[in-house]
Amino acid sequence: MDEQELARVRNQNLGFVFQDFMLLDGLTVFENICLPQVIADSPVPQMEARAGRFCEAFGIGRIRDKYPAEISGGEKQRTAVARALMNSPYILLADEPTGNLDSRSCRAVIDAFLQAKREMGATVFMVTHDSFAASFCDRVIVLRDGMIYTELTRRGTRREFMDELLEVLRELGGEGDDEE
Amino acid sequence: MTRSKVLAKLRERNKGHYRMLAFCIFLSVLLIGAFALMYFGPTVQDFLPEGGDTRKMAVLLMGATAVGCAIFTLYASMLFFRYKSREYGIFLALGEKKRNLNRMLFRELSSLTVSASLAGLAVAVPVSWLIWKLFELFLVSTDEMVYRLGIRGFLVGAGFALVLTLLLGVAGYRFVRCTDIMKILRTRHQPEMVKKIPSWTLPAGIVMIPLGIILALGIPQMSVYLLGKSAPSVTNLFYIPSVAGIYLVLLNIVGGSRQKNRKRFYKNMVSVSLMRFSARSATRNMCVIVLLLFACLFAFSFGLTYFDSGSLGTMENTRGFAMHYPSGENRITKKEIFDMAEKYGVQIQGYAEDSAADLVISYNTTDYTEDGSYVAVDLDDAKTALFLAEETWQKLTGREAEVESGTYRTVITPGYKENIWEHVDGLYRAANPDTGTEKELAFVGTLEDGNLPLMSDPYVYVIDNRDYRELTEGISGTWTEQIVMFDVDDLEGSYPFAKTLYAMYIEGASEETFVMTLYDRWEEERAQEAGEEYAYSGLLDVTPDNTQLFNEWKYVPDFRIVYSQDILQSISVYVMLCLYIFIITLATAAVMTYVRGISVASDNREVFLSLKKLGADASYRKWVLKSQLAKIFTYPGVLGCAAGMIFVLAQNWINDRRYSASEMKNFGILGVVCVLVLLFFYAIYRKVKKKAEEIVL
Repeated sequence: MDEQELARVRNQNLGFVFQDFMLLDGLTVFENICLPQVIADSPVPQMEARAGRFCEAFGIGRIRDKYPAEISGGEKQRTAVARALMNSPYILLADEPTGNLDSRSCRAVIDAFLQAKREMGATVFMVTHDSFAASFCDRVIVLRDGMIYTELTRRGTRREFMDELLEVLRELGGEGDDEE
Repeated sequence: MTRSKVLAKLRERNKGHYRMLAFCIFLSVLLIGAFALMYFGPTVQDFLPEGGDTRKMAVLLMGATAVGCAIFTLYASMLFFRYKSREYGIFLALGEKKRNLNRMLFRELSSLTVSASLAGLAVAVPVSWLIWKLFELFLVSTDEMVYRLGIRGFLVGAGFALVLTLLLGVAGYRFVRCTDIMKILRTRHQPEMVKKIPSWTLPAGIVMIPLGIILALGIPQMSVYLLGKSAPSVTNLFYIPSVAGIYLVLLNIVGGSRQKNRKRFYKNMVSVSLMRFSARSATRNMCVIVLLLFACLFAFSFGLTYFDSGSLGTMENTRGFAMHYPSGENRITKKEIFDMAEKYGVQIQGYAEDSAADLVISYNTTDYTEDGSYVAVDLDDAKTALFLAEETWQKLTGREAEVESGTYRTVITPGYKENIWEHVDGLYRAANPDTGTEKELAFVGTLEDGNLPLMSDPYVYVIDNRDYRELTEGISGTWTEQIVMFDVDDLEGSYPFAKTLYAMYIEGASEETFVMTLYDRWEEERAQEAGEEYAYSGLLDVTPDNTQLFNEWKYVPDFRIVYSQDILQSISVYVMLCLYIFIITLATAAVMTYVRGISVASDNREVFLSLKKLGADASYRKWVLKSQLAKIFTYPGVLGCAAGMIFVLAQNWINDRRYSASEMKNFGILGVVCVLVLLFFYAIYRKVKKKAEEIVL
């Protein structure tokens, strides 16, 4: 694929959420959410209506006219999630989305992902070191040194899945430590 | 791998930053050094009168120029320090001692400054010589104006380099004082957003720019003409609305209020947001660029006006050679003039001579009272003025003049515009100073001539032949003058002939005629009778070598080519200064815009990365960058040129409520200069765009 085609794929088929939010500081929350459709040159009324719905859906409606510098980390990340979903991507790629957040904001972002999955049918592909965040996933691939170590699929409750995850992590981290 | 090797490698990798700062220092020292070498050189210093206005003005303008140079160099150093801050922060984070880093920075800074300054001073010598030769080619070409080198110019140039080094040292000190590693490492700048800008501010700003200029220029004139009083200097404060207007317009451009067209708004959203994020500094920066461009055009327009005052002009109804002197004087004869012309290979055309009378005039004029008011007064038998009979006018000028008995025509220069002081129809009576015979006269119109009006104050008058005979009957030689006028075939090539004739004229003149231009024998006699001191008494030092007597000596020969060359000599320094200020302000504006453009790219690298990840293709990102950069160049460029043009247009109109042919021509030239300035900006824009694309794409 050439650069043009890659850009189109990034814009139409993929959604990105980054650890450091990557919001444009000169744009308001609402304008940031609109950005993917602005790049795609989509019709304005539909774009504004969709962005407005996302603001309400992710609980950021009251801060829609604020700038990134004026909102919290959780609100920034929810804005980033809303922005990532604007073009209804096939996959939402999230790179350590909770890495910079406190527990309350972390929960809010996870809720936003769940909502995206539930209401928009989005597939969320998340890279994380946070087992709490990973426990909300349906399927977790555990990597070790760039190789797949194991794969887990959630069957029971989230808590049970988290225990299962922690067990794997214990296995991972425990090796070679017995002597210490 | 040693520390010095690492640093050398870093320098090699980032030589562009070093080169940029070195170039700015070099350019500053070169400009000031070359100027100082010229201005403080023996040629100009010997030429300019001690303590004269030209010296004061030149030093003032040079000071302003030095400030401009220092500002643009310091501005360029900001970019250098911005680049250094990252390198500095990484070294600090890795545990390097701050003292070592400071030493390293100051060592680099001082070697850069010293080498660039020395290079600037060295190149200043040939550059000043070259510019002088250029001026010689177009303006001055006499023996007194040969280029000579003086030590004072060097010292001034070196002094400036020293001050610049100190200023850069202070900038460096301020930079190293920042100890916060995180602050140093942070590449993203602080938000400088402005609050929502009300929509009325844009039209208000557009109106305020010309309004301020018109008020500041017009109120002093209106005050004189309508109220008869000089306006206080506080009216200069009206320029403030113009500057505020420029700021408001730029703030609107930078702050980008929401557009009604939603599609357009979203299209420009990213580009607008980038600028809005640094709105305060962007507006301030653009405002300074606008003012610099304004100063640049103003200097150019000033230089054009000076240059014009030294040109021969259109020579409409003007003879190349004209003389007037008291009738009893033994000046050069017609034969001597023709012999001299033959010797120099000059062909004399239309030679004419005749006599005219100095009659006592009663006239209406304007007086300036002690309380600052302008009042109209009728002055009876106040002074003398030169009167020509109709036939004399015809003989001297070769043109007809219709003057009935009891009337007069006032001789004015071509394109003359009446001022507040003198009125062409002010004369109402003339009298014979010896016999007292007087006659009431009525104004019937004006006659145009380029030479005669310079022979008498307030004017030269033409009256009916019979009236002239009646009024001059019994007049003594003391009150009559001889007038000689002629042309030559090649005026431009007649300078050697004119100089010799000039010397001959002075050698033949008696010392008592070396009086000031405004000297009036009648006035002096009245003052003596009243026991008062006469302001214009005293004799001038008139020598054949002194060709600076125009507007000084009452009987100075009006040899246009000598006059033009002399004016060119005295104005050449002004023209030079104006051109220098033009170059320096333009260079400062260019460097500031360049630095701003590069900063836009380097400060927003992450934004462009975000856009890429959000699916913006290269052409979209290029477009965002281009529209961002275009704004930085276009708006200040257009606004600065427009403000300069409006100012010159308003100034020319308000001066005498009309546009003369020369003003229109200069305005056209200024328009062409504006286009060239904008093209120059476009060239820098292209360069910045290329460099910025390398940074962000």
